Amino acid sequence: MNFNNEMLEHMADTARIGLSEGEKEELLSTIQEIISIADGIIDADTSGLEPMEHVTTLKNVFREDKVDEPYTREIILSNASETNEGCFSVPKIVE
Amino acid sequence: MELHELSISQLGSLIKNKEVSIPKLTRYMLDRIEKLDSAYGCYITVAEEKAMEQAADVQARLDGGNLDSPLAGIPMAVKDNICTKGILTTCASRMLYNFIPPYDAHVVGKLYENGAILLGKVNMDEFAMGSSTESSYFKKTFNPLDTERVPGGSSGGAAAAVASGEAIYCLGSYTGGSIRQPAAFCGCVGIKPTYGLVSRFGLVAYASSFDQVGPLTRTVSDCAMVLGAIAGHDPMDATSTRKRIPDYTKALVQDVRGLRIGIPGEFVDDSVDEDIRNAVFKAIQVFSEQGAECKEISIPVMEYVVPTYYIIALAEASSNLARYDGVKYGYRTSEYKDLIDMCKRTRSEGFGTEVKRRILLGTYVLSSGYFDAYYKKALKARTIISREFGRAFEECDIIMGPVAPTTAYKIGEKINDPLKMYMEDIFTVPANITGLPALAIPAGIDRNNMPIGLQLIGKRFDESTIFRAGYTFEQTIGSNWTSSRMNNQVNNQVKNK
Repeated sequence: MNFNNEMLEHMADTARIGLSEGEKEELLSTIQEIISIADGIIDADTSGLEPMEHVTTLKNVFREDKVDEPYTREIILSNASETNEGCFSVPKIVE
Repeated sequence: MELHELSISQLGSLIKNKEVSIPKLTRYMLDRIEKLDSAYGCYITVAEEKAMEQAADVQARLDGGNLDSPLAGIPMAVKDNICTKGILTTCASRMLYNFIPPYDAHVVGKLYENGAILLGKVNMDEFAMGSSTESSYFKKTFNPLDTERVPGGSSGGAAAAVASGEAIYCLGSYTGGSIRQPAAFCGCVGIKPTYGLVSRFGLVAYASSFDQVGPLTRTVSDCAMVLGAIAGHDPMDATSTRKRIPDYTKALVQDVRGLRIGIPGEFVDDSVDEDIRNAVFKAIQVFSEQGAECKEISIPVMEYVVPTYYIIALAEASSNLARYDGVKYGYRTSEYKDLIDMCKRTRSEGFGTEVKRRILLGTYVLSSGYFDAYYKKALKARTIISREFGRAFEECDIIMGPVAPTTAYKIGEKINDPLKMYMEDIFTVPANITGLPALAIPAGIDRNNMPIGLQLIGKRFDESTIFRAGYTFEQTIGSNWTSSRMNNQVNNQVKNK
């Protein structure tokens, strides 16, 4: 299938990745090539077959609802680049 | 033999008989890393202080009679996408350059319980996306047998550390061929366990329906010992098995009589390097002489393997890597206009090109209009591939073939040609698509003196049979022949530096 510059920009926007012009050029040509490999399954006869999301046959694994020792707020926030009053800090999103 | 050349059980005996103390052994390994790692680039982080503390602690536990494990006091290293509490875990990415996990991965906890000593964290392709360890943000790792060549990937730092004697064993991770291929390139042993045998808790997610952790070692016995220690149910990973884990060391017998070994014609066709094909034919001869029944089989769906794998893996990756937004952990860009801009710039600056390529491809195959044509189709192709392997296993107990179509290639040779790099995975990814266990063992050298890897794929949860066959092969062709030859080669490399 044809993968063009417009699609690349749309995917980058969807995946929240900014791309430089140089990157765009490189990614466009390699992604086109890789999609040509992916096209190799288009003709596979999959009629009547179920999709296989997972190799295990597990369904609905339940466990007892037990109260456990939680991580402290300090530990959870310890890797954040910016915190404010015990919360993750991000740029303002509402006016 | 020097300490770093010994197997886990040989070192265990020395420790038990008090011929070497655990702190002394740990110091010896740390000194070796200090001496060699500038040449090989195996480690991202060396946890010197913690290793020495652990060594003293494990020695005390052992002396007090509170520890009985073959892994007690044995120094090892862990791939840098497996969480280690209080120790940097970067996934070889700028995105996690400062990430210090608040918990240990289940497998790391299990090794600590067994008295393992963590020397440090080893290099890999960024977020495990690659087959040569060239996409690490921090450094390249060089193949200790020939430093002009790649160590394979993505667990390239782990394989190189084992091959160069900078660790006695390592834990690596698999999504595609990420342990078997570097094991093959560096002349080591590596196993991808059955999906669900080992907990994924604390393994940074790439493609969750494929990811598994497994050991990289010098010998099949070492591999069986380490796998036995990390396998089993973990309440933190619902996909981990509740089956009883057999004692894999009991499978280490030199006996393959009556074992049916199938060799798919597709695994030894013209696309495979001639020296590798010949090594597989030699292995057929070795197994036949030992009493196994070797026969040619066919897996007529190999053309679907690479596309199926990449479509599903990249779809899962694009979803898993959405968590890196510069908010909760890891890198955040310094300048931005608003939240979306911050996220975009963070991901743009934090991820390398290969990771971006895979996220974009994954986003594409999941997007409206292409979802059915690619993603859903690949899930159905996965059913076809699994059925074909299931059918093949009605005729045989093990499927044998090469690990990769080539041996270790030159640094830079394929990094700009992702297509070529992806096709390298053709023989390793079937076991990931189907969840089957697969063992990689050294099986000779090619015309450039680089090791060739043989792959033994087993039935689900039947690691014991592939260990038995692998052990028989290793013993028949001469135990440790690769190790001793490797030591010479590594020593020559060091001298030439």
